[in-house]
Amino acid sequence: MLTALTRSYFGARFLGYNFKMVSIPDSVNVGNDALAFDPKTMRAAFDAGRALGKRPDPWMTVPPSVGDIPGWALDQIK
Amino acid sequence: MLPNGHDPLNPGKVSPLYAAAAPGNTNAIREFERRRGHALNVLSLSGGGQNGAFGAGLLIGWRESGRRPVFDIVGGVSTGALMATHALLGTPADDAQLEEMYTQITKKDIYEERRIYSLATADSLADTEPLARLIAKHITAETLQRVADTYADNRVIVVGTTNVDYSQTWVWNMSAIAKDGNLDLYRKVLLASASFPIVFPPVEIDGHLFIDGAARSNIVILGLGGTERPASPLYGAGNLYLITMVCNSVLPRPCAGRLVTWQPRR
Repeated sequence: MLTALTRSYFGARFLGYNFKMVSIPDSVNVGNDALAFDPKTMRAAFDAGRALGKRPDPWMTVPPSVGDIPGWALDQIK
Repeated sequence: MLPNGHDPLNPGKVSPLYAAAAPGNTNAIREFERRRGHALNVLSLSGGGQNGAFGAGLLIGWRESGRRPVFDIVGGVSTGALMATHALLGTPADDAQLEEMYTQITKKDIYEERRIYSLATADSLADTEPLARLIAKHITAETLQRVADTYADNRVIVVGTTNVDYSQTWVWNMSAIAKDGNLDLYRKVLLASASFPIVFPPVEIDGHLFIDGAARSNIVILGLGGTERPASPLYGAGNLYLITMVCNSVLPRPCAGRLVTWQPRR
């Protein structure tokens, strides 16, 4: 996931596009099993997404983690 | 030759759709900018199983805010692939389907667990026939026609799978499949994209086995690939909106990365 995220960030910037991402807020308990398909957990995640989506600007412009990509390289594509 | 008209590539190489819309084109994003005549709003929906509910909610809240754009290009993997079609079509009725898909289902609507010993004879721990039925319910001939109509406007949907034989990310041009009217293939690719390895069986398409796109890449975005740096945008900076069905706190470790906790029924 880290690789995919970093590639997406670099890719978007090299395409000359704004990078805008969201991920699930820490406050949401999504459980440990992504294949549980538990209605209560899914409802909580859905409601959290909906609340975030309504905000004026929920987007992060840089991924929360870009692994060991050096700072100077990140500066180049800001 | 694969059903989308491309030969399989070498293992480790991405499929041509990543880079170019058609042979000879520089970059898919630049090509679609030219066709659309403006900077693009690109949406990418990651994998994440039940956490797709977060993405469905986000899309709906975003619409309710009045700020959600019409997406020119939508890419999806796994659970993201399952919601990508309705995100592209983008009407309130499509949103309602997304809400239903992610708030009105249980595990039984996705898969049936097999006994652990069944691995001796079966190819996976679960049977995804219920998921196939869920996909068929939400992706109808009418849905396909609407996707084909958006393709006529040069809006496109792509879905990421993993080709088991080549251990390769294989990106499908779902819009082209819709234009061909191949409902069965469209549904099969969606099922494949969401078929988590070992737990869910692979999907056979034209003699090749395909599984969850997230097995190799949890995010698929058109135009990220190829061997050359893309030319400058034709109409200024567009937007890449990435909805990751992953927890902030565990990035870069996805929630789905903890699937080792999944226990087969004994």
